Amino acid sequence: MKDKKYITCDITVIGAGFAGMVAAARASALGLKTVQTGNSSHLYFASGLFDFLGVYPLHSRTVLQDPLTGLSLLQKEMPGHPYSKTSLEAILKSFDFLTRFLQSAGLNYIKPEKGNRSVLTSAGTFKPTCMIPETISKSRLLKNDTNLLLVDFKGLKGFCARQIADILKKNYPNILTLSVEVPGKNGDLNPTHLATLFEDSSFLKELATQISPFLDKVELMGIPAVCGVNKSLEALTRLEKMTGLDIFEIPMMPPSIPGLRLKNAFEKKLAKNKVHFLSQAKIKPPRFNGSEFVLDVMNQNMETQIRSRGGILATGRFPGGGLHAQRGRIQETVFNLPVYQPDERSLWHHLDFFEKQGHLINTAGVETDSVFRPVDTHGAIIYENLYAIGTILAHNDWVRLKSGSGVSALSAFTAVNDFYKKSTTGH
Amino acid sequence: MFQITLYTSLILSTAGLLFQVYRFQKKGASGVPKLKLSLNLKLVLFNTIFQSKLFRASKTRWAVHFLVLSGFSYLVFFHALDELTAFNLFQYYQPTLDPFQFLRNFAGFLVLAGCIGFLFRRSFNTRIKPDNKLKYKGIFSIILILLVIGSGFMLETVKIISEPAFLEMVEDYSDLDEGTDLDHLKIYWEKNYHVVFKETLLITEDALEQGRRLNNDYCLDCHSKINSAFVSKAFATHLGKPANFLNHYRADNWLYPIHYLLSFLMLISLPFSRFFHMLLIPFASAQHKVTNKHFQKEAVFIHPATFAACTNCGICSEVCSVYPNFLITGNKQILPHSKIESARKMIFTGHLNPEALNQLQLGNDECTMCNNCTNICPSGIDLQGLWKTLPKTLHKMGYPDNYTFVKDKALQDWGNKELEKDRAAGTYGLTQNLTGRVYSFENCVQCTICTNVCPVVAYSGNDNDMTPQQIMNLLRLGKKQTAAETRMVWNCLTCYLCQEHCPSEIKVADIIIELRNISNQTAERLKIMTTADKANTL
Repeated sequence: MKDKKYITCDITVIGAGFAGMVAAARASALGLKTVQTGNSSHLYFASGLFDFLGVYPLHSRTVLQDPLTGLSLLQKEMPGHPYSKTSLEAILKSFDFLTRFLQSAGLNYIKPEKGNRSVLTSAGTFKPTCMIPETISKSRLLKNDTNLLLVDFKGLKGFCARQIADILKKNYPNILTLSVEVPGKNGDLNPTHLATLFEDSSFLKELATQISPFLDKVELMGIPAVCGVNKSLEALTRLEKMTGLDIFEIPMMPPSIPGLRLKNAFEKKLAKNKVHFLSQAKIKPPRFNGSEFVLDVMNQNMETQIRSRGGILATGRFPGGGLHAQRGRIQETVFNLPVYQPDERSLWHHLDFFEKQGHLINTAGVETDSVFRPVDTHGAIIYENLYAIGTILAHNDWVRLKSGSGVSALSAFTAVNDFYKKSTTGH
Repeated sequence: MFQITLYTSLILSTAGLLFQVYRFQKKGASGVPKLKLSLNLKLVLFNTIFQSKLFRASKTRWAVHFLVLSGFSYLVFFHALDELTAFNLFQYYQPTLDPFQFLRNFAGFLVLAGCIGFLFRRSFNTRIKPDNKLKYKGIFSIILILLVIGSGFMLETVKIISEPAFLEMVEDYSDLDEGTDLDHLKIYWEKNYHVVFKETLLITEDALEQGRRLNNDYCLDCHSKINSAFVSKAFATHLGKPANFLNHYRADNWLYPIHYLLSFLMLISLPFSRFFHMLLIPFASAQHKVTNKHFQKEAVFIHPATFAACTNCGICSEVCSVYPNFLITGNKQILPHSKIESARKMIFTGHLNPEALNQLQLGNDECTMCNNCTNICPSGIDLQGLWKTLPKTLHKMGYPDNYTFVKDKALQDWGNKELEKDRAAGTYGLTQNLTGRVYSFENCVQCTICTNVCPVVAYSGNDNDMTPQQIMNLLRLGKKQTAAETRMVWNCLTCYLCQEHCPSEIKVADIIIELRNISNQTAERLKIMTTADKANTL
């Protein structure tokens, strides 16, 4: 039995990925009546690290020590990039807002005073990033001569302490490894289930006992990022107290627990802010009633009609379903917006997979004005109150530039602010 | 003749009884309680004499049943056995004297009414209807009762109208000879006792008065007014012309052996027909109910004699919690009154074919052990105890529940050729056919989010052979049957967390449910095939 429901709101956020979450967070914080649709499970793929700008220019192939040096160059060279549409101040403001918002949801992020931070990953590499969860932050203590203990868990896939130590041994010779056997489990171990175990004190005690032989040999310890789901910092601190070591988490393959923490924090706080969330909702082609959007949304067992003054498109790229690649061209799936893209399919990918400049298909996306309203090929605004944010934006090869979270947070923050300003000044 | 047939039937009846006891003991060798169950005396007493459980179950059924039981008991004790009972108890007893004459008629009438009520219920009860085989089970006993009672009334009727009998009585009990006195008595008897005489008699006031006096002298000590035999009198007065014919051929003489032979037939059939429930219900009521404690000690408690007490009344099915399941699946073996009949057949005759056994297992699987049937069973049978022990018996016969079957089965059995034929013929009618269409699972990126949110995986860990995302991978590899055989598809709680969380929006839970259906159907077919093979090789 299908039951139709009607909702009227100020703004509809289409998408529940990182950008959609920030937009909903900002909108609800400004007191706008917000409806959000989408599938928040994609946050399981998020590392939990917020990048600003890790690499620029692309062909330099070096990590930026300070994103600001890259940013000024990028703004000069790539006028279409989302960062070029706004100022450094706005970017920092959006990070600020995000930190405060997540803190109020119980998730602590640390922003370095200056420059990028290098974070050890489960591949044994270092990733340049900007904001990091507090549970990961102690990786800064890792110096070349540090006595480090790397711990992994038998049965947990995608994380091997010995492998990481082997990769790092040239520059970090003093690494010891330990493979912990989780009591009662002798097969595959899933990150979520292991993370839940960390919130159980008897498991922490068992863990501390297994670590105890190493206590006088090391001063720092790295564990996979599975230290608790809801009270991660608390669990980490307890373990630190038990062992007397400084401990940091190492982000790993999806499903990522820092990503899950992010998802939980957003969902918890957005629910508190009375954001109406329609999970796994499918949107029928929208209609327009004057200046109003009319969205018919299908859920598993319910049809909902949303009427809102503003719309925020945060549907992501190909995996999220925001863009769809047909044989010859790329389409935007909800509003059928014009998509900036290479002229023909043969130009989508470079013949060399590791081409320094990246592949052209990764720059495809929706082009916008300075407040992220989609524009057509002539630069004219398509809908007055429709904004496109996040990875769907054109000229934004976020994987290579290591700028995903920054672009998403900035565009979401700017778009919602603009809509808020317009609606309060009566435009 | 009477003596010979009486003793023959008594011997036959006793032999039959002993045979049944032997059979119960033999079949019930495994079923004899290893734990001593105490006697439930109160229930035996109340349920046997007053049918207290039936009274609680249905007032009308109790009324109908009580009509038959009370009427028939009276007839057995004060009519059939009158030489042992009534003649000794009452000095003046004569079957033709009131109140005995009236009571006999009344009792017969009660039994007749009860039997008709019984037939009426059997014909129009909707809950028994689905199983037409059981609808008229035990009808033999009812017809036999009707014949015995009917023949009894007919015998009384033809005795009333019999002229030869009248003349014989006159000869035996009076000194009247042929003459006017006899005519007067005849006139009086024709008028008041409905004897039918060949010649027509002239009725006068005077003759009647004379006849009345003679009647007082010779007959009244043993013959009450015929009005009290209200059933037979009604027959006699409406008989009309055939009366002379019956008198001529001495119907009173040959109906008598028919009546007692039918009664003896009833005696002989006692251990083999529905009449047996009279002895088995007290036995069943005496058994204490099987509790979980008993089960922990792994003793089987249901004595075959207890569930032979079933009268197919169908009241259990009227209260069955899973009756709606029957409406959906159409499997009669969901209904307790059909199930117990199959169980009885299975234990005593062993003539259940693989299909029927499979149906019985499936039906019994649906039982929620709500205990409604046991609580209401008028025969006092511990039905739930039977449903609990039945799976064990079925398991031994090669019909475990499907989950156990799938778990125990080797993978190569799954590739049975005949099964392949079934599959090709599209025996599996699946509505969505998600597992048959690539697009329903091809988008899986093996991210393991489904596995991470799955409470079954979280709880059982390694006891679960495959995780949801591994099942999706099996499907992508084209290993649908292997996927269907995993424990995961059976352990799934259908909480839909996987489906809710899947970033690729794959209908993980729906697919798992569909796989379970496939597994279920395969298990059923395979069970029937393997047991049929076994039967063939034997």
